[in-house]
Amino acid sequence: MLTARGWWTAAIATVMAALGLTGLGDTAPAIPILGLTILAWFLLELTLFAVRFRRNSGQIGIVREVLQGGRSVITAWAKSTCTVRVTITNRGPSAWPLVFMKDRLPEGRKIRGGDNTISSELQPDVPVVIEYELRSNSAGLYRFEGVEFRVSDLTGMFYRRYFQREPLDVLILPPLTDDEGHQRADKRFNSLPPPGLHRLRRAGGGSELLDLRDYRPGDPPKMIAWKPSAKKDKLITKEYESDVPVRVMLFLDQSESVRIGPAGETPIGKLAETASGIAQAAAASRDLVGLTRFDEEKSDVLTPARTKVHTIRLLGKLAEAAARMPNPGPRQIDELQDVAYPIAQEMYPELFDKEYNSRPWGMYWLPLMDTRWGWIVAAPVFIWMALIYFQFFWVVNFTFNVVRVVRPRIGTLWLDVPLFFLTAIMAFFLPFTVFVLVWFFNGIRGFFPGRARRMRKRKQLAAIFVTLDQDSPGKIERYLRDDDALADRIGRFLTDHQVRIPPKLYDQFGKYRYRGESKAQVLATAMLHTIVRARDNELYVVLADLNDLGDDLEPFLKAIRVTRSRHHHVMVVVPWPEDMPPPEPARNGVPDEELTWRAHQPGRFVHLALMRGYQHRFEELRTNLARVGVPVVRASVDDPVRIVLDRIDRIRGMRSRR
Amino acid sequence: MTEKADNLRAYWQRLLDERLRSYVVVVAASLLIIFVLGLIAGSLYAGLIPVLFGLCGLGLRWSVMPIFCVISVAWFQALPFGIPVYSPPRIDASYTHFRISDLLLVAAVIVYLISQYRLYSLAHLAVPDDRIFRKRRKNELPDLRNPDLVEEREIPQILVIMALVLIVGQFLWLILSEVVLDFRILPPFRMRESGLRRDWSWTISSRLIMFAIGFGIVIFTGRLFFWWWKLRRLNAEEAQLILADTGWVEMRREAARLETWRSDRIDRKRARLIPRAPKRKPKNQKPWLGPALGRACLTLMVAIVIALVLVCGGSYLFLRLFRI
Repeated sequence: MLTARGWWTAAIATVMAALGLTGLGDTAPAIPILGLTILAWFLLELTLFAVRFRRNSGQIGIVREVLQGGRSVITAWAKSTCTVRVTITNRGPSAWPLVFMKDRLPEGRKIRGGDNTISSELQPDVPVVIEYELRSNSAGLYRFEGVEFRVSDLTGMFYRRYFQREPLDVLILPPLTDDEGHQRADKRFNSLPPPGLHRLRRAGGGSELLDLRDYRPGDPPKMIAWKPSAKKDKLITKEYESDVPVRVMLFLDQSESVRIGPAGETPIGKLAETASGIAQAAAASRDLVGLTRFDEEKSDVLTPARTKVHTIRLLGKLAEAAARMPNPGPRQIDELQDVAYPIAQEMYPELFDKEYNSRPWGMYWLPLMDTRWGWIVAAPVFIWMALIYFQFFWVVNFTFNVVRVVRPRIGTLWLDVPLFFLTAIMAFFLPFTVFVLVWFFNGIRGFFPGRARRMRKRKQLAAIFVTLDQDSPGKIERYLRDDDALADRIGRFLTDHQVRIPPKLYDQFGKYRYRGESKAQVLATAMLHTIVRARDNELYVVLADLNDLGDDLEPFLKAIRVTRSRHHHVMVVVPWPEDMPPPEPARNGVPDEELTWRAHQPGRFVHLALMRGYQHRFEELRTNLARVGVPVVRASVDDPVRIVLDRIDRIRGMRSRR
Repeated sequence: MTEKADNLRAYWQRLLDERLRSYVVVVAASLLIIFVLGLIAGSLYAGLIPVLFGLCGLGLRWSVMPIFCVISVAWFQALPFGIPVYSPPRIDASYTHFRISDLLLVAAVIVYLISQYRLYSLAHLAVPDDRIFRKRRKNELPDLRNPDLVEEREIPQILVIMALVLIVGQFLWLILSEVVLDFRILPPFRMRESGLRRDWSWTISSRLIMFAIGFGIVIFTGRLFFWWWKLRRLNAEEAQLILADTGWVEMRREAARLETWRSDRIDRKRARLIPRAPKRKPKNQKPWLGPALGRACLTLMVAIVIALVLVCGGSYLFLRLFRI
């Protein structure tokens, strides 16, 4: 609560008052008067500050609005700037003379305009507004945690931190696109086909006129086109377009491998954007679009439909998938703690209060008998006790022999006698003496600064987690002793607050941790389930990271063969890193000049090797899928939406796309 | 160096802002009064040195300088020449109450402290940040009070506060210097006898005791009151935390033992699950007793050595110290 300025002022005033009240006050009375006056001023300021803070804390109202296109929205659109407006109102009776207010930004996001901090006076019932702009490049989630208040007096001697938690999740839907798959712009495009061209060329029971033909007996009279009939002096019948749509089923990979990356720039964000473009363009052509999301364990299905509500629901599902956090994998507990502690300190400042979250001295002590080897030090004590019991005289003899050799001989009787007895006692209980020393040096290690600091942080975090989970007090001790339990809880804490930590890509054996072998099986099962309910003219678009699966792709290939045997079409869209060049043509045994070890630094060499490996695996995947008649498209390099829409048109029976 | 110079330049730009000018003038005026009073009271140094400290604090934003200024004022009150060549004679306390010179000096110091601190909030740093940051941005601007929030009434407010605490300070000194503890009577207070009496040492002790008791009562009462207020305003999470923490403190040792055994058991189970590398039979190597045994033996040896060193060293030092 006291700043350095406050501490120094209080200390100097107290010292001056105390010194002045001694004999110094009789020679220089200004000193005690000065000390007492400064002390009185300090206590006055302290009381005013504490009263104002206590009266208002918990009575601050926060209203948050996310505005897009000038309207308050509950979901935002990607690739479009949204304005966040936070209105803060002091509903307490007192004013806070100086407050630094900061709206905590969603993790990993940057401000595009405005400012999320403001310093102001907070008068009762006078609102203060914070306004800033955010923009996300892909679908995901904005997680707003709340507003931080740093309250101070005008002199800066006292300050308190206070966090008003008002968590709000705002889904970022993939960007809106037109029926050509392009991002929407202010200028409207004419999306109607040119005169005389029709998207749906088959005659059917639709509502759009397809053609005119001669009347055939049996045609319903209501279909007769009377004006052309009058012109040609024979009966002409109208034909309408067939409204039988193409069903598009999107399979979106939401496994761990596509969730890695900074917020807003993950592979799943790109895949979701592609899926959204396909879905919106298909829906605009009155085709039915469904979605299956899958990961390493399970899948869920949104059945195909073509209403606007369905499209919005589908976009929401895509945004939810894009917002999922990766599992950072097994980490060192200190590493996790270093990330989680500042976040907890920022968001739960009141739970770090020493009065609530205590740190007794005893918790730093390392008990000897809690170690695995403590019994080895304790055992000689018991053996020695047994020896004393059964072989008392041998022990006494040993003691005297030891004392005779090592006892200090000072020459003064009053010193020699106590030292003799002290040496005798130490020799008589020799293992016990050693035990006490080991116990002491083992235990005191817990007070060493590094270990004590880690322990303190760990205890504070453990108590906060127990409070948030409303768990039993015994769980605090579990978090203190069990690294895995605490790591797991910290992982959940970070996921809840949308905090990403760089994942560990490789395990202890050097194996890539995010291959997700089981997702091929899950995907295959999901496809087979979809085939069971399928009708004619279906297109399956698989948006997945399949590059690293290798031989584990077999279940998926089998499912593709079944799908193709039912005359459905399949396309695969894979994510492609922005900085990865396209694969080069096969070298036919010619060595890669760039990959010569001596030509480059080791770091560059490893980078090149990884790049070549990725390209090689992509080539393999493309070859494997080409064998079963499935094209592979790279998201963010090729134009997957366009390619998929062309395929839809081909299925429909005509190329009408421009 | 460049960054420091830039920061200083920015500080000066803020200091020269017209919205802060009233505070700058008040600081300068109070330093001037301190200088004049120092000159009158003793020597040139008594006036000059506190003002120099004050000017350093104002111009170079050395935030410890106001404290040095106050200390130097007190120092030159006790030793007008700065060194103990001459110390003022003892004065009967009854002549020290509400003296104009003391009132002016204390008023100037209080006004200086308040206005200088407020100026720091406006131009240098309003509040520090006590948090541990995950990533700190470079060239981050300090948290400052917005100069637009400075109101005209602030300077009169400072004068009111100054007058109030000036009176309180004088009354406190009056009570402490004129009232003496006397445990032979009830209530144990009496007025001090005028003049420089033989019971001077008891008067001083009495002052100190009364100050300590009074200060302690004020702090204790305030702490108790705010503690009670805090408990009344607990939110659900704070209450939950108090319960959990108290429970943990009570069962800590027992729970620690259980958790240690549990984690040992889990570690062993995990060790069995992790596939081990095939063992290679070492050639001509003695069987290893196990890491625990080795560690214990090592610790025992270290402990014995430390015990011997302690006993021998202690005896040696004892003999040397007492020259026996």
